[in-house]
Amino acid sequence: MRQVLSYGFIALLLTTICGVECYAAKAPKTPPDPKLMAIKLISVLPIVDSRAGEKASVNLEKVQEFVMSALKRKRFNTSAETTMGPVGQVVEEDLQGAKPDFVKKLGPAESRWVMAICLGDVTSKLTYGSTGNAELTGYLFDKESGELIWKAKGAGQAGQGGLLGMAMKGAMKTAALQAAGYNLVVSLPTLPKPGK
Amino acid sequence: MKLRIHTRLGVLGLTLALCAALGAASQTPARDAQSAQQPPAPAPEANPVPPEPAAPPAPKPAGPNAASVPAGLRVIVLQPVLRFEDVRSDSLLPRLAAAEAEYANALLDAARNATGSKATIVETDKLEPAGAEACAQLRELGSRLARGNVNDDATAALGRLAALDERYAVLVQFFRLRTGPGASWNSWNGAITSSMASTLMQSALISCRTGKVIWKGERLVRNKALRPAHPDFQKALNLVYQDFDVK
Repeated sequence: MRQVLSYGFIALLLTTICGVECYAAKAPKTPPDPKLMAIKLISVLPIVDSRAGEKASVNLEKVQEFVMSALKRKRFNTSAETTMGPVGQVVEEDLQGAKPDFVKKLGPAESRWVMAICLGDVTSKLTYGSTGNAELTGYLFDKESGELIWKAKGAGQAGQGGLLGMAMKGAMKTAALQAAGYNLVVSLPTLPKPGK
Repeated sequence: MKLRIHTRLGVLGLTLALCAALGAASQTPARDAQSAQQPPAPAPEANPVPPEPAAPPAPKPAGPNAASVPAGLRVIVLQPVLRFEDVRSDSLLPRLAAAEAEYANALLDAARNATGSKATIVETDKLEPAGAEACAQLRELGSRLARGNVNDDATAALGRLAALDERYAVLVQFFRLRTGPGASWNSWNGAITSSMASTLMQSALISCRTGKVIWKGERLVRNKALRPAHPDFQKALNLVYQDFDVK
């Protein structure tokens, strides 16, 4: 009798676990935003430097490249822009409450989807090794409707302890920026493969 | 009998191992997704990486933007603009935001102490309705004004104040407290990270007549989300105003 009970308990446990797993696997995902799925080409504008305090030297074009490569992983077509377009100089506050008139002047006239990225901070420091931190904020606008269709933040951390880590300090800012670029676009959907 | 006990123990052990493996498999992606999207817990207090020492203050005087100051400057100290946010999302930090009044009072006291000996302070509640309205508009633009970025909307509001009294100048303060992933050490691969928390204090004195920045000060403390009672908070605030001048 005791044996039957113990086997019964084990069977119940296994059934429960499998049931929970199956439920979790079948939990309905929220469908991706159709506005994001309709994107054909994203014009990535030059990085807006929104840093405060002491500013470490950083290659902003490289940051633009990191974000573009993260977008390509999500199968978005991208183009790197070298100017902000007719709006001229832009600060982050302009993007936060951007009105349609302003949005329509962002980036090249022929582009429909434009992404503006603000660099919030990037720093590296030497400790018992070295570490790097980076913060990015991204805004994706649809110029046709003049509205903000996506906004996200991406934080990146990098670091290595010990003497090896100390020797790697120079690479920490880049590694942190790369991680921030990747994390920035995490909330964007992955587009289906072409032809599917 | 012994064999039966061993068999049962074996089955139980196998079941537990299976449970652990299934649990780990189901938790890993969920944890990844959470770290990417969920608001994080406040930065842990235990800090294996020592926080970065406060950076030296940024150069203060407004330089070429410095405006000519009319004699007997009257400074309107605006209510500071405070922001408590997470470095990974737009989520607010209610626990810290609850102390908003405490932060605001500390910032206002520092601004008043710095200004008091050098100019006359005008309280916003004693302004005419048109002046109070202009101040409210300027406060909305606080985050950009506090770093000396004066746009057209701000120029218009400053103009309305100047129309009331040419000697008016506004002192705008912006405070931002960010939290994020804390410091960490991975004992398996030796990877370390520093806390992403930071505390930013910015302040600018802007002439209403010319719309130009008379003075500005800024202090960014990385790796720390400072509370008003923390000694470093007051230290940082003192450094913002250390070379405050109305000339």
